[in-house]
Amino acid sequence: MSRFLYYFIFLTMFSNIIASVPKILLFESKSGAIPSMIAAVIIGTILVYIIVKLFNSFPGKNLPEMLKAHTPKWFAYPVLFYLFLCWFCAGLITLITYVFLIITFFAPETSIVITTFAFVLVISFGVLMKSRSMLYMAEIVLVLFVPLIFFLLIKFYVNPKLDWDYIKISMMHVNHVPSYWAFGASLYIFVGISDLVIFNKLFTKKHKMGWKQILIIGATGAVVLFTTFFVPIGYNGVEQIANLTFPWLSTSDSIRMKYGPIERVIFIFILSFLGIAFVSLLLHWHVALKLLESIFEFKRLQWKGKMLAPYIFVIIFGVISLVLTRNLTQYQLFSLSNYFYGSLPIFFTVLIFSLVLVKRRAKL
Amino acid sequence: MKLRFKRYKVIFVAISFSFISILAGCGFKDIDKRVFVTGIGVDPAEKEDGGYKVTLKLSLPVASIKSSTGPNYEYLVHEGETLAEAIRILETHTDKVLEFGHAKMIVINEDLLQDNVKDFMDYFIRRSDIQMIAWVAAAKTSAESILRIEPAAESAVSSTLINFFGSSGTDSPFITSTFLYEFRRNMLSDGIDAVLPLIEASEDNKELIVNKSLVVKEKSKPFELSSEQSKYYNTLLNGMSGFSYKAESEDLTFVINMEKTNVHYKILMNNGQPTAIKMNVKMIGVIGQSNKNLSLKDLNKYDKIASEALKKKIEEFLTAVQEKDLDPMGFGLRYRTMMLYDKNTISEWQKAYTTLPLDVSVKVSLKGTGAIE
Repeated sequence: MSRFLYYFIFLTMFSNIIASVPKILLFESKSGAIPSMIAAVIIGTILVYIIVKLFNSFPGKNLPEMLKAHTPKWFAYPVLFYLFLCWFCAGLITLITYVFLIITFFAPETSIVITTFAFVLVISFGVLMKSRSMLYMAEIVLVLFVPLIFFLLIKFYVNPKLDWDYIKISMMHVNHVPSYWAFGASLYIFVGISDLVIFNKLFTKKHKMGWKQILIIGATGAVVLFTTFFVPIGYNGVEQIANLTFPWLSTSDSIRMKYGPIERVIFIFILSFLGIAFVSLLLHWHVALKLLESIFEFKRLQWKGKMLAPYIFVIIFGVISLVLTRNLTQYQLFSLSNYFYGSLPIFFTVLIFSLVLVKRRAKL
Repeated sequence: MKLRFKRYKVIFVAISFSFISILAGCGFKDIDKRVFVTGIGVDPAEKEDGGYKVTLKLSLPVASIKSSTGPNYEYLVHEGETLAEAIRILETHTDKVLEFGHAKMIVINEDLLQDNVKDFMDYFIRRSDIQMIAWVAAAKTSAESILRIEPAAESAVSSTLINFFGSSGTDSPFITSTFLYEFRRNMLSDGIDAVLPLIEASEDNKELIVNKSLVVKEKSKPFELSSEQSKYYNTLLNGMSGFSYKAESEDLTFVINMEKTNVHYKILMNNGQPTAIKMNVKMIGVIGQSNKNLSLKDLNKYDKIASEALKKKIEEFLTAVQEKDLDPMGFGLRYRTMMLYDKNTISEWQKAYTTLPLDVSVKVSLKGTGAIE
């Protein structure tokens, strides 16, 4: 497997802590979050395997090209549009959650519009980059931030104040029926691989997908979900955990670096996850943009040989996120993300179904 | 063609930079418009019923650390029906923004810890700029008087009150340190009771003394742990080390300096019912003081004496809290980890806890007798 495939997967995995995944999981902590997480790790790993295997049949081609070549128009365009919506929402949720979080913990006095605008501005430049540069950027950011994140996670685990009794108590809630919403939220951490829809164009060699790769992905997913769910419980107790708006931020504020350059870990935490969430957001929106471009090809909209469509799309992205951050309440954001995560099983079904269909039609 | 393209770039950069001049400054307020709150004190209101008196300890900036003789503080005091109201009014008592990001000390009058703790703790948790790693402590007589004490040993740009906790300054097994998040967690969970350090003032009101603790349980009077009991609490729960574990037998008395303590406990069960609490304590230390000459080859004998003495002390501490139906160690939590979730688990535990037999075994391994025999 190319190392970039791991980046896709791991970036989404790490960034889930900043998105609403922990909130949804902890909300269900007394009603079936744990069986859902176990189910999600198994099913998610299988989905990753299937998707990589299916894309292996089409080296150097992206999904829009494949769909357009082998399926009728009435099928290809709605599917592409649905996929676009999913990717756009994935990025949007990360963006809005992050803006809310910055407003609450970092700069409560700055206006929400300015914060969002700063984000959108930087992201717009990133989204418009070439796909290949995107991959290199993902690599650089991972190399810069992952050691820091590992350091922080070790801090979380070795702190004697992390009370394992609470974690064990919450594990005793394993005897529940899996909850669908918690399942969707945990499935989110495996979404990263579907970035291949666009990025497969850059991979002309077949990906090796054996037991070793499956084991790495499955184990990392399990560890990430375990950390996402249980560490906040260990620091904040079982009873009240569902009441925290940003469970992970409150948890990171519970860590003290006695002799560190900054005593409150929360600031290092926010900044390092800013990097990760940022790239994950860029990847999602880059894919969204490319999908949208493949649907609406405004060949006439040109200026000095340059296509204007992507710029217009990016402006629309920015305007939508500005309007939404201004008007959404935290509860609405929570339910929006809940529905989005809940729709992920459908998303995977559509993606895999269309890939299988293309493969059949192409008689490979 | 290429030249024209370059010109566009220059114009673009020029326009971008001219936008900067439009910016009227950032959303932040400058540091000289801020004043840092280092301590928050909460007392019951004197004038009205059910209200709070809030004391804020403000740290005043000094020109340079070298030239200043000591720290300068200002105190803001106001009463209000709720904490938020009182603090909103206090914001009008100073010309600067109250910055809570450095508030590391929350002192609460011990009278307030009986009921509605949740009510005012809510404010601290909800405000995102108050850190969850702030220390919480109970104050004897009043939180305001404790905050107002400025010990002579205090140096500029430091706060005596904070140095007591978290082993960053003084390091003693008598001092309990409780973070805000920890207090909230233990307060709101079934099966464990929160413990807060108790701060007292010396008789001349010049020094602070922290060596007792309070076990706080909702809807009951907080139970005061004596300094001896606080020491055993800290030893058992946090593995704190230090001097003054005394052992006596017949005519021999010696004091041990404990280096390391390991505690393991479990709840013994029979048919799903708790039957006993079993606790294993392992301690490593050296002898610090003795009333007689000791000999190194008799270390095993001293081990036994010390184990006996400490076992008695630990049992005394545990039964004292058990009789009051308090559980600072979190035995209830441990019990809850042992079975699948069931609504009745905790009520069964609460029924059984006060009469549960304790089975403590202590093993002290002394490494030496210090520099003399």
